[in-house]
Amino acid sequence: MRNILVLQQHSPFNSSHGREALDLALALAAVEHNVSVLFRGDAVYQLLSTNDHADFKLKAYSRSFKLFSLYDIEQVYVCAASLGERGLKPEQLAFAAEPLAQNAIVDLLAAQHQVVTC
Amino acid sequence: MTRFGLLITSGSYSCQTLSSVLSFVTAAVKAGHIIDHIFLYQDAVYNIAADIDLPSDEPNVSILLAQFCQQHDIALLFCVTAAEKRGITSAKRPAINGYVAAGLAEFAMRQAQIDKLVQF
Repeated sequence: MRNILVLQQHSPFNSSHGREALDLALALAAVEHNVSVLFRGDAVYQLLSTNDHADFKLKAYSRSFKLFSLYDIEQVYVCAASLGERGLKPEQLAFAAEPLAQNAIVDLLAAQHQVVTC
Repeated sequence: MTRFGLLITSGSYSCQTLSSVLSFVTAAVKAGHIIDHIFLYQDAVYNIAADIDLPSDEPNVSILLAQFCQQHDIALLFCVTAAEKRGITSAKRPAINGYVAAGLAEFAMRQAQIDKLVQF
């Protein structure tokens, strides 16, 4: 078992990065790795709620973040500075990731065997 | 000696990624390290399209990498779901010879047997 961090860096719908990062995190957790997920940069937008809209055809995959606990992924974090830069507050997030300051992110990275950037 | 895994998430004809991968694995093997696997995910699966047709004066790095991996017994894998979503492979259209279809589960399991993961 390895400590593996999936680092989410992309906004939710401009590319498939976020969607495929979710698939990867779940696959890693399914074989008993100790998986953490960190949302930073524009990836913090993945944590906002999504509305159904007839004109928008992409899958609202972020609703599947609720699967994290089913897969025993308990360490889901969001970069506090990235939220602040975008005028967002932790209580606005649809998925309650734990905000981390920069020094805590340094500690998180140092604790990993592997980091996958998506 | 280090046992490496490589995760490729970017690149196709439009960028340098696969050429960098080939340089890395060549240097690593020469220095006595072991490459456990190379796994292509996300847009990196564009590299395995069998219909890639390059002018004769441009090397096809996808094929060069496959040849290197065959010579050195390196598992060269691609995420079959990512490839099918992009229409790169199907039952009628297999990948370039040497690239083996795999699932994310195989990538996940292989993480337990490597020392370092390097991502391109």
